[in-house]
Amino acid sequence: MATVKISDKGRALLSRSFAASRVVHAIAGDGEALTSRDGLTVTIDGKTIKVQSAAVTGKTVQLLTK
Amino acid sequence: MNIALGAVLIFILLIPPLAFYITYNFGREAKPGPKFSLLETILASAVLSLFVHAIALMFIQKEIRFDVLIKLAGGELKDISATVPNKEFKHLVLQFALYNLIIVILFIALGRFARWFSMHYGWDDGRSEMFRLHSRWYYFFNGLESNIDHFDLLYIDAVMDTKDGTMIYSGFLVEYICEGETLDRILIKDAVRREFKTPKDGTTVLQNLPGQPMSIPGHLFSIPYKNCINLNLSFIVLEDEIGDIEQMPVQGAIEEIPLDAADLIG
Repeated sequence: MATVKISDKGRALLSRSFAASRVVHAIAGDGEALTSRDGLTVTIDGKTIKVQSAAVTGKTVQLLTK
Repeated sequence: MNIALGAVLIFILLIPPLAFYITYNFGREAKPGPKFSLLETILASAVLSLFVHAIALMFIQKEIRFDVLIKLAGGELKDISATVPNKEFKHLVLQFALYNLIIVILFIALGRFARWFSMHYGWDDGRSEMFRLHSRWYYFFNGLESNIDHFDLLYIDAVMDTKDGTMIYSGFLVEYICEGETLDRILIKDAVRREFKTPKDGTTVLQNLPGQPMSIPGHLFSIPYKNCINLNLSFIVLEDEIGDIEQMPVQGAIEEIPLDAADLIG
């Protein structure tokens, strides 16, 4: 059995099962927003969490450094 | 018996390259070894062993009793007691064992060091088959195929062929099981499922538009890869600090919180 490299932040979100479930619903319901440069902001019980695609983040950094 | 003794001796001398190869490749999610026949393996090991022992001999200052070694390897044991007294033979066997022990330990250490070096200096990035240490899926699931250095979570969409038609299963990929280069199954958390096709408004005509996600209760969801049509990965970066994420709710009532797309997009 192989484990995917998940960061401490990712592990923290996975441990908050309700929040993690809501984030999955948000991405599944609106995956296109995730691929935009602005990412996806999920509101859970009044608190927000911003989710972004690593690929898009990388491209943004490249654009800024050019 | 004599032939067997010679074969054992030759096999002992062939061990160092094999020890290096095994220890270099030994680890979790290791790529499967090349499919060589026994003869090909022995021949390849013999060539490399020749160089290994030739280099080792350069560092040995004491006299080496090749005559005894050749007699033993050839199975000529009739006059061995006349050539080598019993006491000296014991000494030679111990020296031979010590030599092989040192060589094998050295090659095990060299194999582990080469593995560490390859991983530490980024040679194990899946591009070079020579330095590839893991199964292809390792590079796919850890962002190396996509040139992604850092991510917090891996979100996966798996299009599955089920009895009820094509479905999309999504969630955070946490573990996967490979058998060699073959992916056996993936394990996802916070799984949801969606229909792959949904009816057009007011009609029975199906269109390629995924349905609404429905939660699948449970801790970990296992998906067999054999029923999978394709996988789509999204490497997720969480922008908030870990302290903010830890304040997120563990429990809640999904039904009471409407998931309006307008609220989701910042």
